[in-house]
Parts: sequence; structure tokens; C-alpha cells
Amino acid sequence: MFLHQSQSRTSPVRRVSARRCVMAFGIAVVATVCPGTVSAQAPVGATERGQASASASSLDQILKQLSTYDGGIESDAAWKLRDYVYARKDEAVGRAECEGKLLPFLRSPATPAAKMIAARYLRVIASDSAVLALQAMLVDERLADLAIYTLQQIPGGAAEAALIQTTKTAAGATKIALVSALGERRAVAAVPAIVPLLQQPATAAIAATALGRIGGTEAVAALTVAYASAPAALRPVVASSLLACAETALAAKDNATALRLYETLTSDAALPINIRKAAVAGRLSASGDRVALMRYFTEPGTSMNSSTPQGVATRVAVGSDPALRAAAIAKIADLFPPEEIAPICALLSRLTDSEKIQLLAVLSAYPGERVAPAVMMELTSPTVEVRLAALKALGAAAGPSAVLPLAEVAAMRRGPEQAAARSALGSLRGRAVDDEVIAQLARKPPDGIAGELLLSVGDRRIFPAKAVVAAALTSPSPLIRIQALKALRGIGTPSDMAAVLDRLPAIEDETELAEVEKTVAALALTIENPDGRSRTVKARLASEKLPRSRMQLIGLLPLIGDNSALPALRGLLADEDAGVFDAAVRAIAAWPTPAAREDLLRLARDSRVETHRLLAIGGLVRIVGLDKYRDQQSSVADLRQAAGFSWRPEEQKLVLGALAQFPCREALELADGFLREPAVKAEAKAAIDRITARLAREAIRK
Amino acid sequence: MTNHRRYGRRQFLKTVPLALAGAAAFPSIVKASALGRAGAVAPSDRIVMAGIGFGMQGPSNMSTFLGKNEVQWVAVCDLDDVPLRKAQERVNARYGNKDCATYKDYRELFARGDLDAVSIAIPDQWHAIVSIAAVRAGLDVYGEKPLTHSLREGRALCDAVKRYGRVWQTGSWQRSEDNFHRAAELVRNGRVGKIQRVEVGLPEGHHDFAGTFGQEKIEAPPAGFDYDSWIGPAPWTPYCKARVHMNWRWNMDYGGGQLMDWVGHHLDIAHWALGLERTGPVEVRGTGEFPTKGIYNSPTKYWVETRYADGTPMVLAGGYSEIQSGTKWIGESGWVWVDRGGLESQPARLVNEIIGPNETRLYRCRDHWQNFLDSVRSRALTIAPAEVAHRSASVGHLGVIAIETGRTIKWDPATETIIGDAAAERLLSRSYRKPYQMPV
Repeated sequence: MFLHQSQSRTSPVRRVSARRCVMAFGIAVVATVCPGTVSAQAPVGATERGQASASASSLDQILKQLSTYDGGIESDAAWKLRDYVYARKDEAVGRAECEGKLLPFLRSPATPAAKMIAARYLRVIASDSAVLALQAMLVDERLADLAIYTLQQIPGGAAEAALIQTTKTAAGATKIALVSALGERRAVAAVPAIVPLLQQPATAAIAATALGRIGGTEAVAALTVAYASAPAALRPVVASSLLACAETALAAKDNATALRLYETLTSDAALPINIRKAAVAGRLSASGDRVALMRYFTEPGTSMNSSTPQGVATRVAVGSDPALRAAAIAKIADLFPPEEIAPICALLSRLTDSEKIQLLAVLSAYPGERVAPAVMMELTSPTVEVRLAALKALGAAAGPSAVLPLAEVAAMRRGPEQAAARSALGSLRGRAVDDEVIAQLARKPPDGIAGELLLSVGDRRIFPAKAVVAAALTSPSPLIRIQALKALRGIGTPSDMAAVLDRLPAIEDETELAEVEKTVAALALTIENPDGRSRTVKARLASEKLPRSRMQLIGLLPLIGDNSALPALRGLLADEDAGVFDAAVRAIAAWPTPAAREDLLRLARDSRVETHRLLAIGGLVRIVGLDKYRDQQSSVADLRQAAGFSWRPEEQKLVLGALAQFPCREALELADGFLREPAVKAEAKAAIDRITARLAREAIRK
Repeated sequence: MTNHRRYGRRQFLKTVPLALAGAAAFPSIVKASALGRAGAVAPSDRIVMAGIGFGMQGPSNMSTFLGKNEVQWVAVCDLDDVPLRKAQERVNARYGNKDCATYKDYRELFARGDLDAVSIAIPDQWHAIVSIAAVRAGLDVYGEKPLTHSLREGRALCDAVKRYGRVWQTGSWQRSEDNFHRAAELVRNGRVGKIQRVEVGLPEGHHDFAGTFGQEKIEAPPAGFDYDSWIGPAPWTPYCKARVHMNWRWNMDYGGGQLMDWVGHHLDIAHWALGLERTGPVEVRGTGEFPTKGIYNSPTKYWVETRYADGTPMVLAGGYSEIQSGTKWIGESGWVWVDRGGLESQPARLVNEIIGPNETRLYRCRDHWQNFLDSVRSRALTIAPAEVAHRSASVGHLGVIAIETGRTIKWDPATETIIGDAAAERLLSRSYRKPYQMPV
């Protein structure tokens, strides 16, 4: 029975491929690097099953059953027909039988839905022998779609000839469909039959489109003639087809024809601007004429610039038509090699803001030494969008000379501009850029710029700058120290942890402390062995006497998440110093892996400090969801315990929020129990809904 | 963006809701952002947009665009009154007015003449016709994947986008997510060595997006829904609820099943990482399992193997547990796997490695929709342009053909022709029902 479910299903299925599909490539290699996918081999086709099923009924029986199909649920015959045809499509006798019976079926009194099913499979197997029968159907308005559906796909001259021949006599929508089909087939032989249709209002647009798709000398000639005399409404259609023909000519290296067509269209001011733009772009491509391109920017004319920060619109005197200039800008990359780009760069300052943004995007693909000076000028544009475009272009194109300007912008600006400048500084290509960053740092620039340069050291992974970064860690400037810490996260190694930890006692500022913690954690996480990542911190902890420093070191451990540090933390739960004890509890509560489960359970149950109990409950709820290999019932049992430890709705809501991860009966029962608690009733209901929905989905999958 | 289409100050003022108007320095109805302050978008730079299709992905795309101050959404178009009115209400609520126009015919929408861009999210059989008409009308397009319903349509659409110089962004938004970008960069920079095999895991079965499974009774279409136009160029079939909104995807006349729905995501990412996004495989073969009941005919389970010119083998599969959901590149020294919400590697440290500026950097954006808007201004390529979407969809189309014919398809990605198999070649295109025709 067909499944009717609200979520998803896998329908009853049958494979229809005629071949086993086993490709060996890659499998052996997979075994060496990815044992989990060793079994990843292609599935075995079930052709035999399909054939057996298909042969159980004769084609006549199938078609008889199919003939009353209304297009709805009772589709058995449709699938039987599919299996029958597919089982025979690769052998001549079977194909002939199918074709011989499907063709008359299309003319039978069967329902339209049934005939469409038949046509669908006839399309796969029909050959020249079907052409005459299909052609005969083209004159019947009710059957024409089915016939074209099949004929259009039959390769070879017979089908094409039938389509052409019928085009001459057909009328109305069928004629239109036939012309379209010939266009899609790129039927050059059909051009003489289609050309006369250009003169008839009802078919002119369809014919022009088909000719545009076919292309070639005859089509071009006919379209050119038609274009000259076409009524206004038709001209854009014919023009579009001429554009397509020009592209075909260009692809065939017939630049002269392409150029002639493009020039015809470019000069027609009555055409929609988007078609003229396409013609301009095409003409420039076909001619490769750089002078012609420049002319779009040097002819007299006016154009409105966008608003300045003062809210004043200004006019600049360049070019005659902004839309056509946009088309010209788009062709610059095709026409101007790097060594010829200077005149274009010179134009930049004279363009409107909108054009500047477009041109900056184009220039970003050119070598930096050719375009960077002009692009850098736009860093001072009054329009932020232009400045952003310039920054982006510099990031893509520029070299060492852009290092300082970009660092300056990053230091001076905030928001998107700062982000863009930093991104650009990180994107500049080449070792020379890295050398320039180091050189600029050596010149002791102002703190803001030095900070940005240090950031780029990390972003760019400039390892030779390690000494500079190490020195910056002890800079008197907090900004420099913080940026040096960030840089170290990019280029540091575990051996750098000691230098960073040395800074801990002196740090008063919370922001800097957070950066130190992040940096130590980042460096520790580069250690391959997960159980060795906290060794340096543990060693410091063992020798450190000052409670404040010990607390700071303890706070690092959950950020590193090395489970081998948990015993040390447990030991600290007996520490006499209240601050150290508190830090240890907080570290366990924030532990990032399920290894702290027992500790958290113990703390949640036994701690005498309410804050610690609540922290532990929160931590427990969090890590229950982290252990993906644990069975759901056990996880729910932990959550039940966590809920039992707490009387506050806050923690109960946490538990209920986590429950939906475990769709099982036990989770439902636990959530159900909270329905009686007014403070968490809504959360309990939501949890039950989510669990129920997930259970339903899983049931469907099963 | 063309100057003549800019949504000018005058129009902008008409649409600014009074509730939103007024900033401290300007006690009038002119927002500070309208004057280009604080990095906000000036009114003359607003991108005027409309949407076509609100039955599935359309509302979500529109909501994202409506959240961008630089967009002025002026119209919605759908063949069904119900989603059409909902979409209109959503726009009017956003702007606090009743200005959003409605259309049932996309040609009338394009004829407005004031649009810069359009978001298209309609059933696949309509993709090529509406999209080519849009770019021919001079509009930039945010379009949903798969790019088109047939491979030949895809080439025609790419040609049209190029011909008319339009910006195209495909809804393959995974490219704009950190984990996918990172995975692709790791692979592209050889972090796992030469790639030995790629596994692309896609969903299986059919999903009841619309809650209409089982509603297969043939009946008259509801008033306000132009069903015949909805069918459009596809073969005519009588109306039933389960056939249309959202669940059309499971019928090969209107969609392409899970394979075509997802190939523009996970396989697109696979292509991106390997630098294959502007070419295609040279060999494709596959098997599929199909329903034996009901009205849907797209494969519920499928296994497609491809091989590229450099010898790289790639498997796309839906419904096979040995192929993990997402994209996995298996190299000679490890592997990288990525999926929504997941990025893993072997060795594990790879995922934390930094890609240096002297290595290959892939196109970076963190907001797929903003990337489209940025490109509308700069005319630069988006992160998911038409050609790239066409190449990922092509693999799906070829997979479908391989499954249908049961033969290994030899493919020339340069000429986009099937080699030595005329019967398979015929499946590269689809016949249109009269009187529909693909524009040029």
C-alpha cells in the first residue's frame, strides 16, 4: 500500500537499470586511507527482478489496464509499462514490439494521462520506423503534443524531415510547436521552411527565435531582412536572435559576420537598452577594438554621480550613455592586456561612483604593479562603497606597495572598511608582501598600524616574523600585546606557550587575559596527542604558589579540554584556598567532553555551595548531549538525575531543552512528569512535541 | 544596475514607513541611511527587486532580501493566488504600506521596466524559459538550483546570461558557509594529497514538503490557481494536490527528485574543491530505484559513478549507508568530509590549519544573498554563477540519463555532447508542450 505520511517516506521501489554498475576505481585506495568506506561499492542492479515482473503481464494486458488511467493513485499499469519497455529497450525485437503497440495506443480512446505515459516510454525507444505514424498524429490537435514529444527526440533525418514537412501544412499552436522543435534540434535543413513564417504576425516571433537557435548563413540572411522591416514589437525578438547568430558566427571564427550583426544592432537606438548593451559587448568582442571601447568614455556627455557625504549630487563629464559604458567596462578584461591597461586606469577618477565600483572589480584581475596606484587613489573616495571596492581590488591585485596603505586604513577605519582592509592585507599575494610586513614592523610604526601588521602576520602565517611577535608580547602598549597574541595563534607552536604563560601574572586587563587564554588553548590544540595538550599548564600549576596565578592556570584547562587534566582538577577540589577550589569547580563545570560526567554528577549531588551545584547541573546537561555513542536511555537517565538535583525552573528548562535530542519512551516519560509544573509546563509540552515528531519520523524511516 | 532603473529618492520617500522614519539629526521622514551616512545604502543605490514563485524557496529568499536595506522589493508573481497574497502581505508588512504589486504572468512583471533584479524560485520545468526571459529583459537573477530542467536548457541559459551581461547567483548557498568553503580550500591546496576518490551523499526517498502525500485524487484545480500555466512547457497531466506545490519535485516532468535537488549543493562543493566547476565528467554510469506506486517517478535511491578527465572518480549516492551525507574527498594522505553543520578530516588537525595567502584562496563570501547584491553593483561574478551551476546540474542530468539508459555515458564536457550514443543524446533536451518556446 502506498504510504501516506506527513513527513517522509521511502516509496516501494524497483530498480530499472539494465546493467550492474560496479566501477572499481578508487575502492582499493579508499581501503588504505579510509577503512570505514571499504564496503563502499556500487549496488547491484535488480534488472532481473524488473524483467521477471515485466514479463508477468503481456504488453496488451498492460496497455488495456493503462487505458483507463486517470493520472492519479491507481498507477500500477504505468509502472508495469515502464518495466516492460525498459526491459526490452536494448534489444531490437523487444523495441519493435513496444513501438508497434505504443504507437496505436496513442491514437486509441485511452485517457490523455494514459497516452502521456505511453509517449514517455515511446520517446526512449522510438526509431525511424515510428516516424510516419507519429507524423500522421501531428495533424490531430489532441495528439500533436504527444507526437512532437516523441519526434523531437528521435535522432536522424527521417524525424527531422517529418517535422519540416508538417510545418508547411500545420496551423495554429501545432505549427508553433513544430517550429520550436526544429529550433531546438538546430535543424539547418528547416530554415527554408521557417523563413516564410517570419512574414506572418502569428508566427514571426516563434520563427525568429527558432532561426536564432539554428544560426548559420541562411538564418542570418533571413533574420537580417526581417529585422529591417520588423514592426517595433517584433524587433527586440529578431534582434535577440541576431545576437545568438552572431555568437554562433564568432564561435565559428567568422568575425566579419558577427561584427556586421553587432554593428547593425548597436546603431539602432530604438532597441531596448539591454539588447544594445549586449550588441556593444559583442561588437567589442568581435572587433577587439580598444579605441572603440575607449570612445565610450571619452565622447562628450553628462552623467549623474551618486551622492557625496555632503548629500550633494555632482555631475561629471564623461561618455554619452551610462548603460553602454557599463557594457564597455565589462569587456575591458577581454580587450586590454596588462601592459595596455594604463589608459583605463587613468579613466578611473573621472567615472561615476557606480562605474568606479564596476571598473575596480575589473581591475582586481590585473597585476598589481599595473593598477595599484590608480586603485589606491580611490581609498580616499568620499563614497564608502567605492572605498570598499578599492580595498577589495587591492586585496586581489596589489603587491608589497599596498601593505602600508592597507594597514593604515585598517587602523583608522572601523566596521566594514576595517574588515575589508584586513581581508585585503591578508589576501595580498607573494613572499615579497610578507617581507614588507616584517620591514614595516621593524620601522616601529604607530601602535594602531603596528597592531594591524601584527594581525596580518597571523593571518598570513609569516613564520619569519616570530621574533618580532615575541618581542611585541612584552610591549608597553596593551594593543600591541593583544595583537601579538592573536598573531601568535597563527604562527606559534606549543613551545611558545611558556612565553605566553609568563605574561599571566602581570595581566590585569580582562580583554588581554581572554586573549592569553585563547592563545594558550590554540597553541595547546596544535599538539597531536590529545592527552599531552595540557602538560605545560599542568606543570606550571604544580609549581605555582600564588593563588591568583593558579586560578588563572586552572581556567585554561577546560579551554584545552585534555582529559588527562581532570585528575589534577579533582585534586584541587580539596585545596584549602577558596578561590582555587572555586576555579576548579568552574573548570569541571565547563569541561568540554563527556569525561567529566562522573565529576559533574558528584558535584551536582554533593556540593554544599548552591552556585557550584547549579553550575554542575548546567555542565551535566550540556555534556549529556555530547556523547553520541551513548544509548539514549542512559543519557535520559542522566538528565533525570540532573533534574532531580535542582528545584529551580531554570535548570529544569535546560533539561527539557536537552531531552528532544533523545527520542525515546524514557524521554517522553520524563518530560511528561514536568507537565504538572506550571513554571515549566510550556517547555515540557514543547519537548514532548519534538520528541513525538522525531519518534514519528524514525518510525516512518523504519 | 542601470541608472534609469534606480529607485530614486522620490519613490523611496513614498515607501518609507512613517514608523521607521526620522533620525535624531533629521527630524523629518528622511532616514539618515537615505543620505548615505554610516555606511548605509543611499536611496539612489537601492536595488529594485521582485520575486517569482512563492511556493517553496521563494518566501525564504525574499525574506532575506527584505532584510537588506539596499533592496526595494516592489512586486511578487505567482500562478497561485494563495502564496501570491501571502508574499504581497509580507512585503507590505515590511515596508508598512500597500505598494507591493502582484502579477500572475512573469512577462507583465518584466514589462514594468523599473526592476534591477529578480528572485526566481519556481518548478524546474519553467526555469529556463523564465530565466532567459529575465536576463533578456535586462534583469539580474537570483535563481534556484538545479539551474535548468534539461542539460541543453542549461547551456542556453548560460549563453543568455553571458550574452546580456547579467549577474546570476544560484541558490547553492553552501558555498557561502564557512565549513564548506574551508573544506574546499583544504582539498584544493592538497592537504590530503592527490584525490583518489570523492563521495557525495545525497538524500533518498521523497519528502512530503507540502503535506500532500496521498492527496492524489484527480480533481479540478482550485480557483485562483492557473494550473495549465503551472504545467507550462511540461507534458500535460491532470491536477491533483500531491502533484503541485513543493512536492512537484518528485515528478521528473517538473523536478528531478532528490538527485537533481541536491546535486547543486554537495556535488557543487565537490567540484569547487577540485577546480572542476567549469567542466564535467567524461564518463557517467548509474543505477536507480523507482517507486512502484503513486504518482511520483523520480528515483528514491540512486547510485551514480562518474570519472573526470584527470581520472578522479566520484560517486553520488542517495540511500546507501556506506556513502555519508555531504561531500567527502579521499586523498592519498587523508580525507576531508563536510556537510551542513559538520567538517571533519583525517588527520583531525587539518580542519584547524590556516590557508596562507600564498596558497590558493577560493572565492569568499559569508552572505550568499549579499554577494548577489554586491555583484549587481560591481558586475563581478557571484560565488555561484550560472556556468558553475550548469556544470553541477549537468552531472545530475547525465546521471539521470545513465540510469534511464542503463549504459555508461561517454561525455565530452568541452562540446557538451554524448559520444557514440544517439539514443542517450536525445535525453539531453526535452520537448516543450505547445505553445511554449525557449527564448534566446
